[in-house]
Amino acid sequence: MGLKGSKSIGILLKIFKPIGMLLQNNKSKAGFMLLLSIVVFAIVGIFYTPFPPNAYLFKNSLPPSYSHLLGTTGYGQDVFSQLIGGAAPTLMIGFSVGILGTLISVFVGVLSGFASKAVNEVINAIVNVFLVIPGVLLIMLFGAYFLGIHQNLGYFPTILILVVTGWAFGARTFRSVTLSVAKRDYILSSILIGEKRLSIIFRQIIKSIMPVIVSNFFFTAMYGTMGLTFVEYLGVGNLQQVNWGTMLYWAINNEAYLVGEWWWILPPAILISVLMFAFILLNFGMDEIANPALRVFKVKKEKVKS
Amino acid sequence: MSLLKIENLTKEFTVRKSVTKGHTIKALDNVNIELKERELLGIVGASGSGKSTMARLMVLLYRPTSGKIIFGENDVSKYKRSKLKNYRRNIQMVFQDPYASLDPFHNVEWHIKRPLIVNHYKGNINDRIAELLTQVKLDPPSQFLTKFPHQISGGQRQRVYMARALATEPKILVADEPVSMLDVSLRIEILELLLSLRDSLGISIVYITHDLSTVSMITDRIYVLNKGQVVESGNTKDVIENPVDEYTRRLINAAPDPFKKIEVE
Amino acid sequence: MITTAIPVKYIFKRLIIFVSVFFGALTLNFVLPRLMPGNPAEVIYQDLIKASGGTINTAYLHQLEAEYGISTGKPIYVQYLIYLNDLFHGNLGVSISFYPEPVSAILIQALPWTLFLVISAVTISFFIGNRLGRYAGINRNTGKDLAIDLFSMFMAAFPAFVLAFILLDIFSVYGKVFPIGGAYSSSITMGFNLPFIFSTAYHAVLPVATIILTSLGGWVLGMRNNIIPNVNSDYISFSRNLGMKDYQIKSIAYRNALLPNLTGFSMSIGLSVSGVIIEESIFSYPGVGMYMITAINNLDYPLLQGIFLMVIIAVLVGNLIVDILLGFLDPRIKQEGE
Repeated sequence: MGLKGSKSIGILLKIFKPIGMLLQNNKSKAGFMLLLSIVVFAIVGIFYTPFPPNAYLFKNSLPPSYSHLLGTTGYGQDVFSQLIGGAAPTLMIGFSVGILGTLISVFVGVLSGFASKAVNEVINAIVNVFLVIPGVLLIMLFGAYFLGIHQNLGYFPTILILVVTGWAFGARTFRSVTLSVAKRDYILSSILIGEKRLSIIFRQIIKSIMPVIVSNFFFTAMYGTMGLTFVEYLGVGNLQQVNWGTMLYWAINNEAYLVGEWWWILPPAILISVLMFAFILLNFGMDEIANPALRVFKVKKEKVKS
Repeated sequence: MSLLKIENLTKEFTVRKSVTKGHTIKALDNVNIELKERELLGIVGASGSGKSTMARLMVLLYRPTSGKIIFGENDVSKYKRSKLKNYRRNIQMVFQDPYASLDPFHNVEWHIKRPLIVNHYKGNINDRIAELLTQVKLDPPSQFLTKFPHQISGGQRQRVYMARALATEPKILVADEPVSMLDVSLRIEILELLLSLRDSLGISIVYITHDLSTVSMITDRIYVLNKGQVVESGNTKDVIENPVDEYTRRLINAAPDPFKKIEVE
Repeated sequence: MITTAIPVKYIFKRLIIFVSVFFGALTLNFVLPRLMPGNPAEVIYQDLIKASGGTINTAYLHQLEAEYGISTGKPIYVQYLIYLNDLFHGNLGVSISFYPEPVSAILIQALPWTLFLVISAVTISFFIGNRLGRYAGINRNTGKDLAIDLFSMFMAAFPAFVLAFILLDIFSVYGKVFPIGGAYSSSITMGFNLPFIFSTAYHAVLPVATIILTSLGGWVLGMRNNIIPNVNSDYISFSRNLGMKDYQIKSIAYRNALLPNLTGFSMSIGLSVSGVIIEESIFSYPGVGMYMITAINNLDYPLLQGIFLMVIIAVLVGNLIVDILLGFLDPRIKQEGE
C-alpha cells in the first residue's frame, strides 16, 4: 500500500468528514437516517422491481393484496413496482438540483461578497428578480414553451428549470456569510501576505462557510423534490417516465382521491413527504451546527492550556 | 534615515444615522509620523485615539482621505495591484487577537508556507519554515508544524503569526496591540521577541498600544495620539519622565505601577 | 424605536427593484416564444393541431404570426414596442381554450379569487406562525418546543397540493363538513350581502387552511431561531434584574425578534402564490390556477402569458407594499444607507 494507500484513505476521510458533522445534531441525525433508508430503497429499485413499473399487465384499480402489495393503478400497473422503481429518479433529481443549485449560488454569492459595489448591485438585482417571481410561474412558462422539444431529453429540462428557479435564495445567504467572513482578521492577513482573491476564496472562505453550504444543499434538494412534483403536476414534465411526481400526477388526474383508491395516491404522497422531511431536518440540523447561538448539543472541543 | 514617513495624514469615516442624515468622523487629523531604520517606535493612545486606524492605514487596509504615506522615496497611498503587493511584502502587520488572525481550518505549516509560495521563495521551503519558527522561538519547529490554531496557546499563536508575517521578509512590522489579549505572564516574552527580532533581522517595528508601561520597556521613540492628533512625540525616556502635554500626563498616571496606590484627593 | 421620518431613499430603491423586475418579466415573456427553434407561430400551431386533433383552422396561424410580428418581417425592437404598446392598452390577446374570450376578461374574473386566497393565507399564517414560534423559542429544548418544531418542519416539507387532496378527502368527500369545490354556493347571487360573504368564507376554509399549514413552518422556525438569542441576550437578563415582569420581557424579546423575521415576507408571498396556484384545480376554485391547468393542457399560450404577467404584477405590488411598510417599522432599514 504505502503512500498511495494512505492518500486514498485521506481522500475517503475527507468525503466522510461532513457526514460526521451531520451526526453531531439530533435533527440532522434523524434526517440522515431517513434519507439513508430512502437511498437504500432506491438502490434496490434500480436492480429489482417485482414487475416492470410502466407495463399495463394487470386488472385496473386492484386493492392491495399479497400479489400486489400496494394494488394496481387505474391503468393496471403495479403500484409497488412504480414506487420502488421511481425512487431512484426522484432522488436523482433532488440531489442534482441540490448540487447544481448550490454550486451556482455559492459562485454568485461568494463572488458578490468580493465584488465591487457596482457589480454587487447588478447581481443583487438579478437575485431579487428570481426571489420575487413565484417558481411555479417560471416552471409553467418554460415548461409549456419547451414541452414539444424537451420530451426526448430525459430529466435534463426538469433539472434545468428547477435549478434556474431554485438558486437565488442560497445566493443571498452566501453573499451575507461571505461578507461576514471576509471581514475576519485571518482573511485580512491573507490579503496582507499577498494571496490572490481566488486563492482566498478557494482555500479559506469555502472551508469557513462549509456548514452553510451543506445546509443550503439540503434546502435546495428539498426545493428540487418539491419542484419535481410541481413540474409533473402541471403536466409540463415527461409523463411517460416513472417517478413519484408522475405517480401523483396520474393518481390525481384520475381523481383517485375522490373514488377511494387510496393505495394509488397515498404511497407516493407519503414517500415524497418523508424525503422532503429528511432534507429539511438535515437543513435545520446543519443550521444549528453552523449557528452557535442555536446550538443545543455541544460540539467536542479540545481544551488547551496556555 | 527614515524608512516610512506619514505626512499630513487625515482619515475620515462616514457614519450614517439615517438614509438622509450622516456625518463624518475624523479618526486621524493631519498626522505626521516618521519611522527610522532599525527603530522600535511606539504609538500610544487610549481607545478611540485612532491608533488602530493608523496601523491599518500603514499596511493600506484603509486608504487615507488625504495626506501621504512615503516609503523610501515614493508615495504609496494610491498603490494598486502589483505595486501594492510589492509594498506589502515590505510591511506586515501583527493583529491584536491571535485567536482571530489564524485560520482555524489550516495548520501552522500552511500559515507559514503560503506567504513563501505567494512571494516565490527561491530556497528550500521546509528549511525556511523551520528557520522562521526558530526565529520566533518555537523550538523545535517539527513539534508545531502539524498543529492547528486551536491546539496551541495564545502566546504560541502570536509567535506563529509573527513567523507568518516575517516570511515575506518585511522591512517593517506593525504590531497593533500584540499582547493585550495575552496573559500578563506571557507579555514580556512577546515583547522580548520583538526586541530580539529588531536586533537580529535589522527590521523596524511599530508597536501600537494603550499601555504606557510596556511601551517604556522596549521602544526608542514614541508618538502620543489623542482624538486623532499627535499631541506629543520624542525619545521614550524624555516623554515619560517629562510629559509636556496634559493628556500624556494622565496616561502616565493611569499606567499600572506595582508600587503605586490610588489616592483620592 | 419607531420614527415616522419617511425613508425616501429606501422607498426609491424598492421602486427601482419593482420596475426592473417588472421589465425583466415583460421581456422574458417577449423573448421566450422567440427562443423556440423555427417560427414560433408555426411551432405553436403544429402543437395546437396535435393537441386539438386538427380542429383549429389555418386562420389562427395567421393571427398567431401577426401577434408575434413575424409575418410582417419587422425588426425585433419594433416587435418589442408593438408588444409593449398592446400590453399597456390591456390587450393580452385572445384565449385559445376559451375562444373567443379575450385573455384580459378571463383574468379579471379569476385573479381576485387567487389574491383573496393568498392574502388571507399569508396574513393568518403570519400571525399564527409567529405566535407558535414565540412559544417554542421561549420554551426551547422542551417537549413542546420539539413538537412544534417537528410539526412545522413536516408541514413545510409537504407539497401543498398533496395536503389539499388529503383535506378535501377528509372534510369534504367523507366528512361532508366543507364544500367539495367552487368559490361560493351557486344558489347565491354575487354581491355585497351577508349570505354571499358567508358562503365565500365557507368555501375558502380548506384552500386557505392548506396554504396556512404548509407555509406556517417558515414563520415558526424563523421566529424561534430569532427569539432564542434575544431571550439569552444581556439586555434581557439586565431587564430581569431590574425587576421587570416575565410577560413584559417576553413581549420585548418577541418584538425584537419579529422585525428581522419580517424580511421573510417576500419569500412567503412567492411560496404562497405557488401553493395557491397549484391547489386551486384540486378545490375547483375559480382562480388563475384552475385556468392555468386548462391553458397548459390546451397549449393556450396567450392565456399562459397573461397569467404569468398578471400574477407577477400582483406579487410585485404586494412586495412593494410590504417593503414600504417595513421601511416605516424597522429602524435598521433606515440605517442601511449604502
